[in-house]
Amino acid sequence: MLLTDKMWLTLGVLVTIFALVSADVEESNTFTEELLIKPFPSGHVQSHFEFTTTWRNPEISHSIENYKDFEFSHYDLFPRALGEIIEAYHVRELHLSLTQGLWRHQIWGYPVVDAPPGAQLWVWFNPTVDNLDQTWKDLVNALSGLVCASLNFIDSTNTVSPELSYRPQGIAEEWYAGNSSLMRYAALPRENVCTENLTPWKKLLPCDTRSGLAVLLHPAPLYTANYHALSIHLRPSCVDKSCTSPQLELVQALSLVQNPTVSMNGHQDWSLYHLFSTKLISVCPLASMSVIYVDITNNNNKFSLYPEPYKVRKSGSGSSFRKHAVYDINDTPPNEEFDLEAHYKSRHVYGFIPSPVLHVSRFITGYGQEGGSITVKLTNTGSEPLSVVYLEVLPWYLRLFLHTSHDENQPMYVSKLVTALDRERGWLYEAVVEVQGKSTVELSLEFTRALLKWLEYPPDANHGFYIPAATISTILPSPKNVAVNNLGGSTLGDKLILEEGEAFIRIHTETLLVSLPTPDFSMPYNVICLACTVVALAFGPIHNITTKKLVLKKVEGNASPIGRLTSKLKNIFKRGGKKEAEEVPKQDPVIVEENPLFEDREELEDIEEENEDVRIHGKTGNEVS
Amino acid sequence: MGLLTDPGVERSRLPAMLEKHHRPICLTLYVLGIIWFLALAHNNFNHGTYFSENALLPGLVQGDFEGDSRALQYLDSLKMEVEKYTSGMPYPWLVGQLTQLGLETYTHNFTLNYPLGHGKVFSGKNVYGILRASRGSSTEAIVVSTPYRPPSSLLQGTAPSVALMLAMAHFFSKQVYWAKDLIFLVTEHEQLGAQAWLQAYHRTESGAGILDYGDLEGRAGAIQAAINLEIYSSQVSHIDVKVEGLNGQLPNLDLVNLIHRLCQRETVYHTFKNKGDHPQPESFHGWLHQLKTLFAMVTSQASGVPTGNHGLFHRYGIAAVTLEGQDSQGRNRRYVSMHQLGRVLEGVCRSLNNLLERFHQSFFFYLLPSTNRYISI
Repeated sequence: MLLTDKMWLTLGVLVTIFALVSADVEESNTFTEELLIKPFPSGHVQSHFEFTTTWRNPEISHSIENYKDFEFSHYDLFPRALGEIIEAYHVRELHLSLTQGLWRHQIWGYPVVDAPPGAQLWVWFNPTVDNLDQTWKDLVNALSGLVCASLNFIDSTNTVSPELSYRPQGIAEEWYAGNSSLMRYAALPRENVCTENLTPWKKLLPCDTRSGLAVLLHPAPLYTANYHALSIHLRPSCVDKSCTSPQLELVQALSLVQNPTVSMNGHQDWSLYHLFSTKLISVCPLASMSVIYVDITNNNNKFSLYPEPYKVRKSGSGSSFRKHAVYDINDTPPNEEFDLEAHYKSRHVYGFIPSPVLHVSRFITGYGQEGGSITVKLTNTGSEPLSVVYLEVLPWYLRLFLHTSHDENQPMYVSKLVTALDRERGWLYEAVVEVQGKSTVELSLEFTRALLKWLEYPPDANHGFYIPAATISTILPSPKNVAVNNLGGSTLGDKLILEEGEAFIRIHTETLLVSLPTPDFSMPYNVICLACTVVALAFGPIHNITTKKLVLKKVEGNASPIGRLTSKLKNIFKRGGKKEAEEVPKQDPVIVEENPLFEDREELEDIEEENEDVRIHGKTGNEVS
Repeated sequence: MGLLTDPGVERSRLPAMLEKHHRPICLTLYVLGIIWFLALAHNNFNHGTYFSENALLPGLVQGDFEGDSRALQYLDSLKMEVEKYTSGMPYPWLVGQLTQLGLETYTHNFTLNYPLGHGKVFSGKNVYGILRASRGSSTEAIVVSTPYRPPSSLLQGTAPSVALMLAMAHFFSKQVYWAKDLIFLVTEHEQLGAQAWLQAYHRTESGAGILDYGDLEGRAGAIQAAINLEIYSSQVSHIDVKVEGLNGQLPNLDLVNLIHRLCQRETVYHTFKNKGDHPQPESFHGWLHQLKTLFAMVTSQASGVPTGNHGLFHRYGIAAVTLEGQDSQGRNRRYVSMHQLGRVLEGVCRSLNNLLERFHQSFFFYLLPSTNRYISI
């Protein structure tokens, strides 16, 4: 009765229209696992695992488009432990890496994901956060528990918000990406990586380590590698190139560099079994894609692969040309254990390796414990000039002299500078420098070392303090040594297809070790001993003088020789008046040694008058001195 | 302090007596002092050396070095190269050998504007290779250096130390326990090359415009310790440990003790000031022997001239010593082979690798009457 036929018709039409419109945005969860193996001309072999989970549903799209907090429900492949942290702390984009070892850019080129030694965390928050510092602190502690790393050492003294470096890697509009107050960056260079961090990381994977490529992750070979980086990257990304709908992308990457040349007696032969001490047993049933790529771009018949690659994929041209041997494990699952081997025809020859377009070196100059200078050398081996953003995050106990960073011959633009406050915040120095083609630019920051309070020294104070790595970001004119194109897509396979033209890279320098002037920690004990001795020596006589009472003493002759000896010894060390007593034995003079008590004063005054009379009238021949 | 003595009152007997006889008393005390100093050489008045830095763990692990045949091969190859370069360093051979071992090899050019000689300019080139620690991040380094001497040099040739260094580099590159990078440095022109390298590494100048130290392409972080090798033959009679540095600065006593302890472990005859330990140090002859060693150290330290390239490292806070090995000249008595030398060097580098902190525990000022006794400040 309330709803007429006409109203039913319009309702039906509206519902159909709504259904058609929302048909584009559907619920979808995908998981892909990929492994890239790349041999280097220096004899090393890189293995890069990438486990990508994407999640797309209307709520997530809505949150991404409107910069609101995520609200997850019906977790499927996405790990719930991480999802709850993201929900609770208003996170939009998160990048965490734990690395052991240094990536040698000069001989290995640019990595898939660059990470400095130690721990590095940078997060972009939603604009809905009211107290960002408190949220950052809580997030850091939650993540510390999630990955079993001591990330809780991140506090206000090592957190910064750089302006130009670390712009969002996911979907972000101009107004959001330019607002650096919504992001936080911190690095802990002393953090170690071990199986304790690997285990919770593995638990975030849908298949854990029971099947799929994660089966290869045995701890022993991982932690004897030259470089080992564990990372978690969460970002809102586009489903496809046209970017009509957004999705949430979680990439868990593990990067390894090992040296089979050393263990295989000069041959760079490698195999899955040799690198990971296990073979591939099964495929993860939850993975929509399970692929192994071997980079054979520079293989001019130097090595051959067994089994033969299922497919050889060539992409790009010129400096972006890449050739990969593709083993799609999901498509053609192996009957038994799958082992991929590469055999080199001849021994490895260590030759000259051309450096990539931009490489950086950072070191401390000067000696002694007073001051020094941090110098960074940027070398551009290409022919075109490069604009490089150089970010330096330094602790407060290195007191910088900012006037030394500028050189008249070297124009540069300081995009952000935050000066340090003792024990509250550290230095942030971000500058844009232009490096001309085929030239080297040196920037240096002079500093003096502060003396810390004695409780602020760590137990191994003479080891030194670590300075976090500097970050260099630039856009290269061509993707010559670049490994991936991050904007390419969600899977590693898509990212490995490089495009001609500009490529963005972000690289990190070495971490440094500075030794601060260390006090002698045994000094408190020494000072206590000395002070107590002084007090004892001073206090005793003062106490005697102020509190002792005056006493008459008769001088008696002692018959025994010991008595005479002791009295003689006493006389040597006693004060002068006694001599007089011996010379004038008739009178018994009174020695006034200490200040007398008040009651005896009158008595003493009388005795003093007597003494005066004795002196004046007693020695008639002598003058009164 | 005014509380213990009272200047207002007449002086007591003792100070007056001292003042009256001050000349003979001074002379007596002076002579007593000299006698006491001479007596310090006797074992009753000095202490045995001990390790303050427990992290060194010297000789805890059995050495594995078996590359003495490789060292001899390198020595033969180097001798052939040296014939072609009578007054310089065989750079291409050295660079090639270091590169083939998988090290990052660099050369370092420096020039000296001779201040006393009418604008004369001398140039030199050092060669160094960095063995990157397989699991480390290049924050700390240990230097093993040797001064190269061409045949035309007045001093004894150090080709065997270069050969030993290359054999050690080959052995070390296969090990996985390194936490610090190892820099293998071959310098030219004695102390000038070492000083130029150190100045270039730390970018410091001492005396403007005299030594143009050039630029280093590769670095390995903060240097913790350095061992300088001066081995003159493949069969040396003993290893002499030289410690005195520039202006009398000395390395940490722990490093010296480390070398002596490891030599003892590998049954290498080790000396200080070319004098071994006397078998009866308590006797008169033992005391005299130790006194001579003590005086040798005092005079060399007082001169301020470093006894080896290691002396230049001390200024930068780097503990360094020189190991010198003289030719045994075919005497059938015990000689030290490359194998034993390699084991000693391996043990030293492993102990230095164990260290977390710089040398700070033991003494920096000491006198050594023998290899296992010390007199501290």
